[in-house]
Amino acid sequence: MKKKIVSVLLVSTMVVGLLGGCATSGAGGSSDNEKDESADGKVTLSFLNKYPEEPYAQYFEDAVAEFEEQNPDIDIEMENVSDEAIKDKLTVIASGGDMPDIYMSWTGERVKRFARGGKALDLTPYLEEDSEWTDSFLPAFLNNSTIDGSTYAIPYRSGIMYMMYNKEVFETNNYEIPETWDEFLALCETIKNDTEVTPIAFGNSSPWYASWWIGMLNAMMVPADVMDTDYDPSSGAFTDENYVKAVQAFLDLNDKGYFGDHVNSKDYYQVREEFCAGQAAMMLDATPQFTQYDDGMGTGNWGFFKIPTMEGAAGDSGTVGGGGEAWMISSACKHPEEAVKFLKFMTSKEMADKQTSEAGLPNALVGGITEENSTATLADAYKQAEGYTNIADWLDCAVEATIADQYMTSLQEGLDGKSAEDVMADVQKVAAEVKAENE
Amino acid sequence: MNRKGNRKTAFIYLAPAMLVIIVFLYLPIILNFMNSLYKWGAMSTEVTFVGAKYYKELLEDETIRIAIKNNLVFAVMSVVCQIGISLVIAAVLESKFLRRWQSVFRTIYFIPSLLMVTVTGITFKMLYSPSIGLINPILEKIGIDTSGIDILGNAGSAIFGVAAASQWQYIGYTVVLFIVAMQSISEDIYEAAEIDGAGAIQRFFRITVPMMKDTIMINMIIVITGAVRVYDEVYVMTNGGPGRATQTLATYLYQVGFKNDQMGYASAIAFFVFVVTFVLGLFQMKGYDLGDD
Repeated sequence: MKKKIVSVLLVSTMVVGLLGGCATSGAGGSSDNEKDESADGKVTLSFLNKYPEEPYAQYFEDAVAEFEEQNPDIDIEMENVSDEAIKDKLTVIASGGDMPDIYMSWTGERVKRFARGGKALDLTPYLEEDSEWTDSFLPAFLNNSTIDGSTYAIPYRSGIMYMMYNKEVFETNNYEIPETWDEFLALCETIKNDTEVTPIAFGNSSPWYASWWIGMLNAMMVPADVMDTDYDPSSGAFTDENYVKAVQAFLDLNDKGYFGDHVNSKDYYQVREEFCAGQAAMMLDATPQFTQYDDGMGTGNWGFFKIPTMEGAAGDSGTVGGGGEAWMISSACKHPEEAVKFLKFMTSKEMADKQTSEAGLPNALVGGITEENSTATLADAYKQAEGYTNIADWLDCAVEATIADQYMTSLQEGLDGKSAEDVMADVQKVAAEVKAENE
Repeated sequence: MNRKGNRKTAFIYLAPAMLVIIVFLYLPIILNFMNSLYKWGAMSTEVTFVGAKYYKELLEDETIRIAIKNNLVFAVMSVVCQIGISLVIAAVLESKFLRRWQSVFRTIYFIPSLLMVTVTGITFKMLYSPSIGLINPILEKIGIDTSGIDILGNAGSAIFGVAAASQWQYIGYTVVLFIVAMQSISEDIYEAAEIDGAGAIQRFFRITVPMMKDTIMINMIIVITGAVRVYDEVYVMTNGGPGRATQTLATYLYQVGFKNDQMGYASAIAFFVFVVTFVLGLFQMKGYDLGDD
């Protein structure tokens, strides 16, 4: 008997190791940081950002140093975590309760979920107090961080989707820039039949890239009011048949071979390399990545065009896919005044100019992208974007996390043969669960 | 000192260790179980009691079924390779002809297990890639049509690709453990068997395997519990995709908890994993009668 007990204990000891990471105790209060204010009255603010790689990292380090120089009594402790990793990291930190004072997020649902969970400071009073600051931002990006009239995040980077193309391929074959979706499809067919290159560079082993396409196609094909209802977790149903059509339009591109082979085992970064190496004719991307194409292909060897419009589609033609990145302040931050001061500094005209010219990250200010602070291509992209009235956030940032996850999972299965109806049936099922929980 | 006093002293000495085990091992199991009865998330401040709802959900969740199947694939492949094949490799390396070269081979086999899973994961991801990889061109060379082969990209083959990479990495580790155990078997027994006319294969099954029972069992527990909680290989190579094809219990748990923010459900999955490994462990202990000799 005793032996049995001993062995039971032994076994449980052995297997319990795997539970280590999962057993957290509820929503703990944020731990008191004694170091917040050191003896000499210096205020320390922690700052979680997402640019560990060059040329971005250097710009942010310089910017922080400059702010500290101007404000000797404030100390900014910046930590940089890469793009994919920060999504998980923020959730993990949030569950531990110890949020950084200032942290980065994408505009849209990702900001709103922090706000709903009480992790974000309502910045409305600060924005109301300083209307000059408020009015300096492109409204579409500030609006995407607002729920019920309260704004929770300050946008610093804007992104607008365009189709990149390889100029050499287009010029040698005398292809014209497609303006409508039908022309676009016809062009893809021609490229597929006449040349060695893949019509569109696309890879989906990291499934967020498909969500860009679907976010864009939804905006094109689904009526704007339907989309507004569905993207809200408390009322989303995704039953409109146009969602199925959007998924079908996307899957068609794959079925017809315009994406090339084996899309589920390549990721965005790999296909971008392929595109830069001249193996593909077009690629969907957004303005913040323009510098990557300058570096990868050389300025002048690539161009961009507006996402072709779909004639007769039910969506709002003034809407373009894209999204912003924004900084938020934790609701537990002990020095909100200083944190706001830092954000004002970082989004000032002067710093925004530098951010764009030095790091190549387009700022989110009205008239913020000019020939002076950016390349001619980027300035042109923002000039052309003036025709758009609305920004549809990247789908994975626009809808509730569980729905976004189901969307991306099912789209991967769709590229592996699942039908568009079944993809949307999966999404509808999860949306119904989310709706029931949020009502 | 009398017997009673002895026992008391023993308890005093054991107390700190017991306390650590209780606080860091048993308490979390209980807390985790309690957490699984509530609906809560990292982002939301609401905590509502839902009882056994998540356990019911768990039984109906198709992804859980996929995950269990994948863990089984991992377990079977791991036992075959890391116990079966590595035992054979160890025996071959221990054989008289190869003993001179043993250290060379041992090192070669052992090196992969020193690498980080991230490194092997990314390496294999590249090897498997149909566009930049090495596997497809090799298959092409030996006359196989590879146009439909995309090991990590096709739902049907992805989990085998991931599991195979894991075998490559860890086979050398168990080989070394087995060699060590084999070296402790007395040479006399083999000599006696040889005189009695036992062949190499007979010697392997009649002497080596029974004499190494304990080592095999320990490795079996390590390999199988490892297969049940496999996480990093999948995370690096496919992140559960394509679709849900390579989702394992641990990756699904992580996704539910930290991506979808359903901590209650994640806790229920964690408890389920605990029960599974616990039962597996019990069975193995019983089957091998550990400690009875």
